[in-house]
Amino acid sequence: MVVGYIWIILRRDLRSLLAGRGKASVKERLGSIGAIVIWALLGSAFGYGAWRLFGHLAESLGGFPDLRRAVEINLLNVSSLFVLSMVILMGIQTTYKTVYESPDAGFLLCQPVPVWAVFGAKFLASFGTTVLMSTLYGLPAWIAFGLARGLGVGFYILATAGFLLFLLSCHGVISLILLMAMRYLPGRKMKQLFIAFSAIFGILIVIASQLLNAKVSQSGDPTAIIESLGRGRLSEMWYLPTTWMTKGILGSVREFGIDGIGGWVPLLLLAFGSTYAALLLSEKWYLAGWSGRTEELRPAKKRVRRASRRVAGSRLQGVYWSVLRKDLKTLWRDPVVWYTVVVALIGLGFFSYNMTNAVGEGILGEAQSTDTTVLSVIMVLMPVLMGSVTSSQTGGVSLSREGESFWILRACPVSARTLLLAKLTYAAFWPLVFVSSFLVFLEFTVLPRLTLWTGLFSGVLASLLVASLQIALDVYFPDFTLRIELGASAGGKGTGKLLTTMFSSMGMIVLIGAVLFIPLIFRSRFGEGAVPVLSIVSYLGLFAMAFGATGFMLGPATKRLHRMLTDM
Amino acid sequence: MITAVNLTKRYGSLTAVDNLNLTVKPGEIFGFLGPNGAGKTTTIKMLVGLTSPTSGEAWVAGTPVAKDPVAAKRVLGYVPDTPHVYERLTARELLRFVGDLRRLPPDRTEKKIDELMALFELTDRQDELLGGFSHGMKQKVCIACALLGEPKVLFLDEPTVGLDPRSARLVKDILRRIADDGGAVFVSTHVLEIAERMCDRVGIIQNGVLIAEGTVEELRSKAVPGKEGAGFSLEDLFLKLTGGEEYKELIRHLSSDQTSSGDSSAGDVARRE
Repeated sequence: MVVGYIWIILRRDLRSLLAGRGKASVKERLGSIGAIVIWALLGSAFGYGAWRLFGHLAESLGGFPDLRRAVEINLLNVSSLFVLSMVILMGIQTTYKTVYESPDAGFLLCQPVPVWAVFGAKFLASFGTTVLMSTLYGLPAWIAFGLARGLGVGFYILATAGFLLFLLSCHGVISLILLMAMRYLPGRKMKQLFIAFSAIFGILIVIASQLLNAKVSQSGDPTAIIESLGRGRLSEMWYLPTTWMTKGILGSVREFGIDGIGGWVPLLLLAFGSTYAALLLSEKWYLAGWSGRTEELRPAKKRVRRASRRVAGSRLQGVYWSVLRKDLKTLWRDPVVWYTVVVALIGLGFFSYNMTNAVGEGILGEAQSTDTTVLSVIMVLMPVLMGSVTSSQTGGVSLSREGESFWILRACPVSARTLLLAKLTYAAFWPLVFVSSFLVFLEFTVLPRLTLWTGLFSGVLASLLVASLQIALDVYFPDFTLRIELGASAGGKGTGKLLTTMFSSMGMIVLIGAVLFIPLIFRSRFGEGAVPVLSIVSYLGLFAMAFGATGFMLGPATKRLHRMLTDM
Repeated sequence: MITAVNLTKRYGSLTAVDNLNLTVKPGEIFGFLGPNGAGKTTTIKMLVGLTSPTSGEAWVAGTPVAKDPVAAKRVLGYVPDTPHVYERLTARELLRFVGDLRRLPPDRTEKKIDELMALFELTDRQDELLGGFSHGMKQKVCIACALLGEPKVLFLDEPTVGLDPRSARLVKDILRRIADDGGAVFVSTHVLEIAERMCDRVGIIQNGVLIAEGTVEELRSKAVPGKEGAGFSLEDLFLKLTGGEEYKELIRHLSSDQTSSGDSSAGDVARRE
């Protein structure tokens, strides 16, 4: 009976999804096809990389079968741990959104349908999303392993089953935790906890990966990776479902001599036990949790009041300043944005740490005479890159981030040019902050660098060029549904826009780099004596780009924004 | 104060507003009525410079809206049908922001904000983030934003939706006051009682065409000539003009069907017993 209800709800979801595809515009269809292609390409790329790695292991460790098996187990286990991290990082929010924030949940709960049937349908829908998301990172490694070892079809079936059971275990436990937490915490508080937890977890992953990278780049030995990975031994992690999955699947490969039953039994028990428990408890707890999802939290009244009064007296007047002030104020109050800034700062910190070590150990010593300029330019472009990645989620998409509130600007006497200038300043904010502080920091290090003023001049121009590109893209392709949480679009909306903005910015930085490298590229052809002239040509090129960008912003982009303000 | 001449808006093959002509004089409250999807919001958006007309022209306080939208927006205030606001600003900060965009002197802005917050009973919550406000409170903040610049012309799209009766009454009084002070108010509403009691003139739009315009009395005499029309409310007139009367018959059928099915089920129970 309940299964029948679940099927009715899911069938309706599936139908509306398919009907939606039928009515989709060419652009939307292309977007969907593009997303599927990218998904498949990424999965294939991961799989190919893993296949090459396992193949390499087979070749290099062919004479040491025990060592090969140990390394393979560790690699597979670490890949599963990565999936577990991703599920913890993203799965909790995905499940929460599907189960508690699904727009039709209220409608379904009003119907004469058992509560746990509604929960069950949402549980399965979010499980589907988790599978789609995690398969990309998790399954290719197992398929690659099977191919490298020449295993039969049975292995792939078992690997898929094990992987799905592992995901169901995670999903069941997450759902149980959510059900319990939502019973006692208001929805907004839950969201804040998710964000804080995900941010800390994400930052820990970034730090861990950067530490690993630093270790490898310092030692210059790829086996350091394997040594680091070797810490994830199965026996030491017996309590994790990743270990059960690895044991269960590898139990089918005779060479490994692993007891597969010891993996399958706890995995099956956890997967079906947690799912059953979640369904059972949902009958009592889901409705209470769902109705509390929109409960308000009183904001920190006094704190806002003090800030509010402080700016009242002496504030810069005019549309430009008021738009910029509003944007920076909302940025300051959006903790989610700070995640991107912290990640960028960590990246920049490790970059300078690695470079300092490389200089200290003399790795860069031989290159100093010829390639100091290259490194010096990179020292300017790296903070611009980090800043532009940050601004591709903040100032660079600030027009889109106006969202539904854009009517306020449209209904006020605001000229398109002033608004564009304010948005441009906001987009350039992070690159400018990063590049100027990094260049000043470099003055106190031994790292190769341009002179402070040359560096600042190049950095400011590069920042403004990237900001112009981002704002032009936002003016021509705005997405007012865009909402950003923890470095990604919330609910998947606007993912294409965020990626386009970020990759276009990177492309622009590569282009700027190419212009700045003109003296190096053409030095061999024109001789050392031509370097000063080539440097001038390089900076003229940069100026030409800046003039081109300015012309575009003042002309077509301003016209386009004027149309957005007056005809939308 | 407000003039629209042959105002037309087409979206592809769909004509949302078709050759609309109207005038609103100073001191007048104009009620704009029509069924869902009739073209009310599109008309308002053209009049306030948020959408450009496909053809035709509109003037607000003598300023051509399409040609000089920035100048037109200086003299008008606008309240949209849904109160979307910046969730991470406080009510006071949003009003300050709007004051700055309208280039009001800071001292005057602060004084006006104090007045408006007191008027809308938001003084205690003016320094809280708008994300925590209810729909009605956000609506009040949007109305305060529109009133901040003391506009000569005010456009309101469904202003009383989400407001409690006390606040709705307050809004009605404010609109009357603006009109009495020589301003013009253009208000779109579904609440016909408000239109009947508050508006000096009303216009009814259907399928993008302005099908009737005038005082309620004028509309009554046009729609139902003679003494018979005297008992007609604006609701009756609206239904008569927009073809809503046909639903009455359907509703009558529906209720008679339900009665008969109720009878038959009662009969079934009786038979089983």
